[in-house]
Amino acid sequence: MKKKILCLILILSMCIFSLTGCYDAKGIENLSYAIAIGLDKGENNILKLSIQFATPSAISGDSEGSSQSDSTTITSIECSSISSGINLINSYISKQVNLAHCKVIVISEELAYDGVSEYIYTLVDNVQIRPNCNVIVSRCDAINFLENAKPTLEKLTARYYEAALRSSEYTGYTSDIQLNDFYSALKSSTAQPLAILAGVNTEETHLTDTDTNKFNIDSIYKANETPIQDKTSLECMGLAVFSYDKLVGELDAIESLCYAIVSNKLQNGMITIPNPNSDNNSIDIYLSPQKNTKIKVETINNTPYINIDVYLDGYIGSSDTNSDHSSTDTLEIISKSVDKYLEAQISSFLYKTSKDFNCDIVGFGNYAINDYLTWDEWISSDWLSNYKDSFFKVNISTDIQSGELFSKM
Amino acid sequence: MGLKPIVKANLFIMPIVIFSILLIFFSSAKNFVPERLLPILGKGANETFISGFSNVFAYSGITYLFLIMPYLKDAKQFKKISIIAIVISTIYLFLSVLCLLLVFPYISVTDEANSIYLLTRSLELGSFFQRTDALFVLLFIMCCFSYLTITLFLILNIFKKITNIKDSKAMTYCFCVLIFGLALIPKSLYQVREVNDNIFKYLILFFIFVFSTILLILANLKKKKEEKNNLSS
Repeated sequence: MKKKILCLILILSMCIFSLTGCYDAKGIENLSYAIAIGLDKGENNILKLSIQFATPSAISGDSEGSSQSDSTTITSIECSSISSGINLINSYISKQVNLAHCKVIVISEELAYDGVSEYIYTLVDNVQIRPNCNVIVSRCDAINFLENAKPTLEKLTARYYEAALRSSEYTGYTSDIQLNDFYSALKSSTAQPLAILAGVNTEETHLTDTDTNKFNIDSIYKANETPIQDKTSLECMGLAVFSYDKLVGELDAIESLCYAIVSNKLQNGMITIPNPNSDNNSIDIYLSPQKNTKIKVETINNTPYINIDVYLDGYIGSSDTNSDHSSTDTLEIISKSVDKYLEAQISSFLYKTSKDFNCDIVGFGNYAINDYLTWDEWISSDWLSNYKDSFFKVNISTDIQSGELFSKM
Repeated sequence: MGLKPIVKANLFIMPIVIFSILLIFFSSAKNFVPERLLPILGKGANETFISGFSNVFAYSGITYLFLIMPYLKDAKQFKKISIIAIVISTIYLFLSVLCLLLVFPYISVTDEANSIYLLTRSLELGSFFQRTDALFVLLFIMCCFSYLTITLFLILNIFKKITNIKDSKAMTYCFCVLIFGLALIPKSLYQVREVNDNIFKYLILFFIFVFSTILLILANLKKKKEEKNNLSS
């Protein structure tokens, strides 16, 4: 009997502990899901935090006549930090802010110039935010960027963000920079951070003073400069370069492609070069990696000498009546032209990162560290400061093939 | 709760855990930066071998080998069992550490459970499988379950031997409640880490390397003394 009572008491005490576990459980009806966070410099406070929320009733089609732009709503607040801003929004809206479905973090250029480490550390430390959330530097205000996220080919804004940033896989004109990448580079002593460059494309922001005789005019644009006429005004093109946590410069489309080639991130891309077989004419080449780029770094008297060997496959994407891409000699000539063009472009890009920005965005430090035995030796070498003295030697080897269907017109 | 159900449950859990670690390893392979293993000597010999000696704590699981001997069907298999257990644990530990070193920058290292969690957060298995960290939490619970059952079984048996009680099963609930109550004491994960880093780590090192060596020496001396007595008698 005593044993039974003892067992009963023990079972009851276990129930007391174990059945009280769900006191802080929250259902989805109590949460408001953020799909994008915008960070601007505040006017009356340090920060202007904007959060774009998904409105579930609009997405599911419950409300009649809802357009895709109504599937989100933006709440903005001036605050001293992200956490306090979210707290203030929590007290204002009827539901609790949840960042688990946040797709992008948009930082305005103005704020990025002042430094973003505080915000990045806060976001990385947040369990709700996914590390694969994209980091975008907006050439306009972040709130303006979010307000213009009105997809025409997608129903959901969240999916639109995903799809828009995936274009880097087939253009190479930007890169898929995630929060994880940004944070890793920010903490690293071998590389420096990058972010996706984006903007709101309007008639006023189009690049007008271009030299129309330039053969590669289509690849010199940055975000919001492309002369496009469309309802969708968001544009992701180029990259934002950071020195530690401060924005120091921007890369245009072709420079972003060069970055993708050197850092082994290229999947597919396209370049336009002067046609070696015809004057006043250009030729389009689709590029894909043949094998990984080989990088060798030697440091002599604190001066880095960087050797880069690039191996690419290319096929010709444009033809005219005089085109004859069937002969090996013609392809050889085109291949040499591509090599020469890319060598010049990549060298220019690399010297821009070293001399103008002094930012090792490619991560050459990862190769230079090979020469050091201990961590202390490496840290005392001060790689990131020495990077500005770097010398680059770029060797390109491109294997060119004729067009997909016709080799002769 | 006997040994059989514990063994059977662990036979079910262990392959899942090993498979998951292999999955984490291969899935995060695309994020590997081999240069993150450099500089090859790390923070130097002093930091690695002297200051870092307490990291041998990672092998604290060896303690269980000292206690399983009486529960083996064939005691002669102990050596084989020990070697297999150590090899599997070493591979598991090696893969976990390698993943962390290759994926995360040198300085952003947290404790081991958090690091594997961070790793699973950064995993992407196509666009269909997202948020794999939820799976990790399930895996973590299973590992905890496995660890707790074995530890509880050993505690009960040690308690049984110390107190000479006939049936230790009734004590299971008491110890469960005690463990549960103790688990509620720390106010944050940080406090648990503090206890782990400053107390538990060194206690384990003492028990594995100092205490067990002293016991081994004393046992040998006792054995020799008994042999001497037997010979003289």
